[in-house]
Amino acid sequence: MPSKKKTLLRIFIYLVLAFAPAYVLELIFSDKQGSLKNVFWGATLMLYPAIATIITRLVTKEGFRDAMLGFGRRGSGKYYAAAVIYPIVLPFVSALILHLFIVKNGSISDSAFGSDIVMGMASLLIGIISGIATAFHGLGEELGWRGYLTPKLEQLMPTPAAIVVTGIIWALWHGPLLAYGYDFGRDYDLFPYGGFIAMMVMCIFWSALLTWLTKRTGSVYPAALCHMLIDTVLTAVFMLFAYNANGEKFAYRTNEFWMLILSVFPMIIVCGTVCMVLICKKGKSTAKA
Amino acid sequence: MTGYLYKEFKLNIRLILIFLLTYLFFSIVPIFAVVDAKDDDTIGQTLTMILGVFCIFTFITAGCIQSGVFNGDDRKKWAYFVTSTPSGIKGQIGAKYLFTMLFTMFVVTLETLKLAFAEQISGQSSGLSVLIAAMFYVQLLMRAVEYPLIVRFGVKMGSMVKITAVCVAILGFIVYMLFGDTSAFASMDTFWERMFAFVGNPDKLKMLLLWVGICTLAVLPLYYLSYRISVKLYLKGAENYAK
Repeated sequence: MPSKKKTLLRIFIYLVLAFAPAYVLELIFSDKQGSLKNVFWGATLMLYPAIATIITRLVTKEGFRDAMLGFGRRGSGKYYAAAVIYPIVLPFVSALILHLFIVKNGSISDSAFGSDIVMGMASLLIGIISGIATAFHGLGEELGWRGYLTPKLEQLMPTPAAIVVTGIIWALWHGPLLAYGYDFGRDYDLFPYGGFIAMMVMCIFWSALLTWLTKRTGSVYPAALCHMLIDTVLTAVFMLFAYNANGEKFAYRTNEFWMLILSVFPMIIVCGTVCMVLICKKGKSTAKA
Repeated sequence: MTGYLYKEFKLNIRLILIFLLTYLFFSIVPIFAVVDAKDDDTIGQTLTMILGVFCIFTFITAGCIQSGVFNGDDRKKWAYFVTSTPSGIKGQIGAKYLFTMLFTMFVVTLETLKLAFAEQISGQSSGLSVLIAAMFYVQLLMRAVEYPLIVRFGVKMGSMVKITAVCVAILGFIVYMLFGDTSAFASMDTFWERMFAFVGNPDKLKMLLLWVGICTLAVLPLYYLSYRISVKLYLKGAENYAK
């Protein structure tokens, strides 16, 4: 195992290479609304953590032996299934919470999804299809965060701490976009700090889930698949529950920021916590053995 | 398996680089040409057409590289050596399937970036992302059919079996069109009328969309099934390989 100093240097090189292009592009091409004006550079953003990993591994001469590029261990199939099922279930659980506690003027059957189930299912399938086809973008991030940063941090601290630190770094990587309202909009108190905190919470718990998938399989592909499906399916399907059949937004008991947090975060937190516990248990049993 | 994957990457790196250079020249250059030559009214249509044609062309070229991943590996000595390694047949075949999938995903990424680039400089969206996703699944389906044949009969024989199967399918189609029930195409006027009526009916269109989605997703289990079949057939196929 390399010394602490060497590991810290490797992490530093990786972080500089992952953050620099993302921050430069997010600052230069920002549309001041949480997105990028330049479509082309916007489409490249997710690839920088992978590029940073490749350059770091080449510069430090680590090689790719521990890059987890294989299919995974024997019996990994169920984890691949979990990587696909989780993003499909997430918008439905979130929609249930949304309509049970947050929506004021309608029920789930009045939503765009509920009133036209065939179209809703078609949207779900399209989300899955495009998520799998563009999974290389997911690999772009996961090769960096779960395939490089978390294992390196684990050499310096216990696994749960490594997961939390990865989550925080991952959230901060979206910094310039968050400062303008990425994902959570701008219409809430404490803008933009609330968005940063929410993103950190979300990234920490997703980090736990994705690390669990990566550790159980010994492969980054389930995490990449899960990441990309979350991006495509959650947006495509959850929005159909947030609007009614006429395309109008439902009235909420709270603002949009809290609506998102209260409806989407419970499942993210529960699953993340379960994964964290499972990782800790496995760590203890390995240490005993 | 990382080692096998590395081998595939190393053996195909020249082809991939040539593919990338050709891609840059034939895909990016026309975008500039169209944007320079056309006025704002016609640019969208022309660009969509050109991007669409080059998208299909790119996937066909990528398909040729994928079809070549078994080249040189259909040797008895290599097959028995691979079987004796810890990763075994599953590692060897799995790496080829994984390489194919990753390479196709890489092409999807290239195409997505190209569309984004075209949108950026022309200021108009081409709406071709559906075509890219469709081509991704078509590629996987074609490889899912082709690879077990190559594994079972070797590269040369497998390609001949594939070509024969395609010819038989085309022949079957011609025979059906000559002697089968072609009343649906009897009058092109009524055919198009029925077609437009179908497209105009939102319920039928939604059901079609749903079924297209289901069939597209079914390609992934088929691809996995193809991998399992290839693993099963590998040693049988090795008997036919050259020394």
